[in-house]
Amino acid sequence: MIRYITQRALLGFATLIGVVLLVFVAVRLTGDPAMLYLPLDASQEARDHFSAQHGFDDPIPVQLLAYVAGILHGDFGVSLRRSEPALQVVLQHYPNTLLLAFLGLAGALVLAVVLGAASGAKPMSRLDRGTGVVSLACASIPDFWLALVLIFGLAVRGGLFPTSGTGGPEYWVLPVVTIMARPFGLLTQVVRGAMVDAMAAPYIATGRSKGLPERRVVFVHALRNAWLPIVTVAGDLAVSLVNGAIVVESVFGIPGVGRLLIDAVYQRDFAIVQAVIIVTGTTIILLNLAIDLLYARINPRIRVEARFA
Amino acid sequence: MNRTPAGQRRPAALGSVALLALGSLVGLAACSPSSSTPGDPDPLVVVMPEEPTSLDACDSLNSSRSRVLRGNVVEALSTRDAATGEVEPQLATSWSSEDSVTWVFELREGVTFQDGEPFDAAAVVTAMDRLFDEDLACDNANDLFRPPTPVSVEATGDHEVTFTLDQPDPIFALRMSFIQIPSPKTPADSKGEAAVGTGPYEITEWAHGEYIQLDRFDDYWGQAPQIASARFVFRAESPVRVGMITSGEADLAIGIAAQDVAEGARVQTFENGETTYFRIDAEVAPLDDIRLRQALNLATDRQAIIDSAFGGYASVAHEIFVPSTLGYNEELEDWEYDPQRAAELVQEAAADGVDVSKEIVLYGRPDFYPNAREVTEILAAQWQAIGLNIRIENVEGGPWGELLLRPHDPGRQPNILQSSHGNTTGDASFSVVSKYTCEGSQSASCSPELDALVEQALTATDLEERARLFAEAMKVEREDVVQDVDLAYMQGIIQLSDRLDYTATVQSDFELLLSDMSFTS
Repeated sequence: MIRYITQRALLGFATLIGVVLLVFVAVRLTGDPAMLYLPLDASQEARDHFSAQHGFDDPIPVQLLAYVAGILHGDFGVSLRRSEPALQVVLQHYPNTLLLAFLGLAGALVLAVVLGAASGAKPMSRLDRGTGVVSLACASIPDFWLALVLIFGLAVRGGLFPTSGTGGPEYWVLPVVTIMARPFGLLTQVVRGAMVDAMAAPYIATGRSKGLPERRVVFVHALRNAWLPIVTVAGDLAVSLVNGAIVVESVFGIPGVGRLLIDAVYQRDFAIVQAVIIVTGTTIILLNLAIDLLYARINPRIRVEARFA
Repeated sequence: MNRTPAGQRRPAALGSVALLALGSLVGLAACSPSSSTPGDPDPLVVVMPEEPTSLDACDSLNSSRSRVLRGNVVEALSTRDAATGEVEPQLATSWSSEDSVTWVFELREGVTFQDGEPFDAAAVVTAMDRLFDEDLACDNANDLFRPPTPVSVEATGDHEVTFTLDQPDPIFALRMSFIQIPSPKTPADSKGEAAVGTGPYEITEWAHGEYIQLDRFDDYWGQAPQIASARFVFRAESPVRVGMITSGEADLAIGIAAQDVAEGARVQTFENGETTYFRIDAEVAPLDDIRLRQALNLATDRQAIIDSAFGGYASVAHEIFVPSTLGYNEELEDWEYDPQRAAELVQEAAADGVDVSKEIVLYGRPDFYPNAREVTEILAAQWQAIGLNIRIENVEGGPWGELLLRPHDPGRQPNILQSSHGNTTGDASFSVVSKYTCEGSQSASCSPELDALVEQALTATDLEERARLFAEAMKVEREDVVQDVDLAYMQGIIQLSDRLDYTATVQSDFELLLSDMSFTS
């Protein structure tokens, strides 16, 4: 088991290094920061001076070596726009994104498990058909559109929540509902499908015949065997929430890393782009590791395979 | 039966863990600080499309920064009156120059910065040294100067500063209206912090990504403004900005898209000095033939684009800057919309051996202004209809800059570049030199005749003569060069809450003077 975890962790670390290298080179191929940082009428001398001052005129391998040496000392570079250490800027913004993603995924997971399991237990019932329509709609609606509809329906017309911004819990409702919609839709369908399969298994008939209450049959016996696909999909969705955060944070004006990243890409603020990638990349790799462990916990067969691997 | 293996309880346990987490996070969110500040129940809220990336006085040309800073937090020696266009005293009381090379400014006395530092000649010298520090790469120095470059800035008295330039500059006082003077305690080697100036408001808090808080500066030298505090917030989407006015969360929304203007809403429109245009690369075949460049202009149905893509909030343009600019040629007329004549010109060129079938790339910048993507699509269709082979390629800031600026790639394809130009200074030199002269950083044409006129205009000490020479240069551009398809003079749209009293000016795109605003109730 320890070997399995070590293998997974090493693989994750190697992936992270690969991603950082790729991003480091890729952002530098997208253009010269001096072009965007300085006004259009700036002289060529001013541009050259700027590039030399920030080391952008060095060959990419030289820049990369300097960057890696910096990281080993805990120095992730300085934001071109904010003149602050990049890591500090990213860490300031990260809690908002984490909170958004966590509330979104947790909410989606709870709702999807309850609704999906209940409707999977009784296929083609009224509840099942209703859930099917709602979950399909949630999985297909673009988050950008949903955000604007929620703002107009519930904030501007309804006056129930603030339109956007940050503050007390009421400010989080619309962004969380927006970011929740897609994972909720997809997960509900996965849970339902897995439940339909699980409910057809012989041990369900056994459970029923020995007189277990139906709720226990559904939510304990059947659901336990449906967990594997749910965890798989939920893990993938957690990763994609970083993408969702870009849209949600932009529309609702939440200072998170999604918005920070997109702004930094447009402004060629390389240090910020790299720091966001490293921080979110590390989180995603840790998350994947956690999912792998959870797998092994839920499905003993994986533990066995790992032992013989 | 009552002994359940640990694993079997897991699904239910997982569900409750998730629920618990959800609950505790909602609780956590409840404990996070609220956005309203105690003691200040009701600040004016301005919602802008983007957050400034820095708030340094030496970078104040960018409109997202200047809306916050200009005239609110920091002030300049002179200021341009939005209504008359005249340059008037602000931190200086008067100025004079015999030869337009040496300029003497008399400074206002009894002025203090928001950090308590006195405003005097030494503060102005410090500010100018910082502005021209190459390592800081200040926008205002790169955009407004070089040339002309001050060769010396001297304190010739406690409240007198003498500037000596490397060449005559009759509009130096206008130029200085864009140079705000920050406190001498501003860090000399970095631009991270929010500006401290002499203005009626000071920046009291900048919560990155959330808001910028301005509060009235009690020791302001001028008249105290009515509004005690203001908060600038940022929302990327125009409908959200409108929604914030409707729901009472904001008092002033900037940059409203035409399609978001609701009936009965308190909107104001103003000429914002922005001209949308397309630059034709006149140095690559087949576009080096002037007939094709004229044909592109004749085939452009400007009014139709204004009505459809800009919702009518613009007017037809025929030169790069707006009528209030010194150097605007009022004798030039709008291009006629004559696709038939345009097609004939293309055929004439083809008959003379010009390869009109060659693919021309129309580089679009969809982020430039609302519906910019639709504009390129309409134009591509109109230009294809006269027999040209147009292909659209959309680019963003970095690659666009490389296409725009000299030196151009010698192996480039014939191209037309979507662009937009805001001459907010009121003087033609800020447009003409870079865009149309042979060596101009953004030019893609060369006319020695135009260059000679511009050279004369730049050093003419008489402002009327300067205006006449620039207007003459624009006539040459129109008749002999035709490097642009000038499209429309744009209008800015703002929306106000019921309680706010404010009248937009031609400078409202980059100058939102809080002292011009008041609450009606």
